[in-house]
Amino acid sequence: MNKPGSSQYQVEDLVMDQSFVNYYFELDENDRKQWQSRIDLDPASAIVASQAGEILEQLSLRLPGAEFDQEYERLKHSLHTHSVHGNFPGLGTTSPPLNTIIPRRTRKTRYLFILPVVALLAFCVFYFYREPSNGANSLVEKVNKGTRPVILTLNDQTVVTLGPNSSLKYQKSFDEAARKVYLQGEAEFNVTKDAKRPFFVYAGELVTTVLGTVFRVSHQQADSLMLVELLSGKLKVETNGPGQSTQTIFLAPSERVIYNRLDKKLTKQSWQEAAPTPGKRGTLNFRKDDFESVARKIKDEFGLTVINLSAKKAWSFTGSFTNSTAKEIVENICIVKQLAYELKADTIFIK
Amino acid sequence: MINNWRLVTAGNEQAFLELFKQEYQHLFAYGFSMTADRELTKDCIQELFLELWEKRTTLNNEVSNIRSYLFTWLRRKISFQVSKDQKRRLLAGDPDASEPSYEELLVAMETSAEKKAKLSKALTALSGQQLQMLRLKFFENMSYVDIAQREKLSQRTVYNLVYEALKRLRQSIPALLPFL
Repeated sequence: MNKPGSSQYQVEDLVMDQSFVNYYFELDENDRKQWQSRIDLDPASAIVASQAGEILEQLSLRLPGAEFDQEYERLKHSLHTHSVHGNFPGLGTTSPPLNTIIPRRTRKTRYLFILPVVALLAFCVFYFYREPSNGANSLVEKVNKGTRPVILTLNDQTVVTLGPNSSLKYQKSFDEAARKVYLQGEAEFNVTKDAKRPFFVYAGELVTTVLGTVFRVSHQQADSLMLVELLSGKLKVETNGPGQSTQTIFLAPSERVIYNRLDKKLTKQSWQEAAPTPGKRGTLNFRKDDFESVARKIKDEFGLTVINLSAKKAWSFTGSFTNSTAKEIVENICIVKQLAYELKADTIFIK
Repeated sequence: MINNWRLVTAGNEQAFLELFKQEYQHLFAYGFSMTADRELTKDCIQELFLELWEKRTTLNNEVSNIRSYLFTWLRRKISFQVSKDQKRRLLAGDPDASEPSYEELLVAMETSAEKKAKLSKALTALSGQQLQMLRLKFFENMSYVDIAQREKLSQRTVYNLVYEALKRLRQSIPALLPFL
């Protein structure tokens, strides 16, 4: 199927081409550079290239990249089970059965004895944090180390858009009584309605209870603010810190909650997609934000849409702006990244 | 590569993780071709590396071919896991108990029952030779020259066979490509 006006390359041509294979699997640096620049120059070919890539993945019987990343993290995690890694407080009240061990699959018990040291350490750490870890209910972790959001679907069909530098721990198949996930970083949740099983998002010192809703949680470890924004549905947000009284707030659509970690206060705000106000001054912080994240923050704060037409897609920006206009911010970013911009009506184009 | 191995046996964690990254997909393809079981293969590889790390200082630091060393280790580990049933069949010389075919492996990689059924059906549209071509080119990663030599065909013929196979596969299942 060759759509009119599309790239000169057809999917089969790419799949058949050894230099393309070398680019895709990074087997040869020259091929990789050559194809990368071809694809950068011709955006239509990026789609064809990605289709070709999928076919290559499938026919080569390789483990998909995201799954490989998971396995890599799994190995690193197993190596360091003796070190503290508590980003997921407030876990359930059940303690794991005594034979809870990494690896998670309970296959023949024979090979479990081969790793007595690792198993013992794993048991100690997990017992301390009281993570349920048996069979299908073991916790799986998705880490997004990239600069682009990653979409994952949980086993109740909830769709999670996991932001850059974020991670989510969740049960492969949820318990009958409750659905719990543990978030670090930022994510948007589109939760399947299930009145019998409330959905809980544990993020730092907040627990968000959901019945069926679309909302966004933002919790960066070093930040002093945590944010829960509700797009549709209903939410209950509670504080879950050690040694404090619980504060509870219910959210209706277009309300949001800000938790200030410094004075441990939970406050409600009304929040709307900001109407375009180019002259408005605001404060924005970026930490290794990719383009999409930058564009979203500018849109949220000033109501202006930012579109990246330049060839540079994969950059990240770190910086703080206090009392600046959107134009000033974009100008600054463009200077740093050596890009140009143009402001037309309520849209900024980056070139 | 050899230097990396020495570092691993000396206890260098960075080198160990590098080894994992470098060898993983090869090990996975090898293991999966034996088991046709994604999760089992992943678990066996995890176990292999954890054991390797545990025993790192006792291992021979002068291994000449690290990949085949790891392959042998993995093969032993997997056959240890293989069900008694299958072992019995293998020993009895049961033809069905031989290692899974490329077709079976492709279907086994799919995660949903629906996709498995679709792919299985689509693969029946391909001839044995076409499947063989796909396997040699994309799974064994052979060049056209090498395939031509091995199959005693011209390079042109090999190229056309692969192309035909791809086209046929794409025709029978548009679901293979979510964009279409």
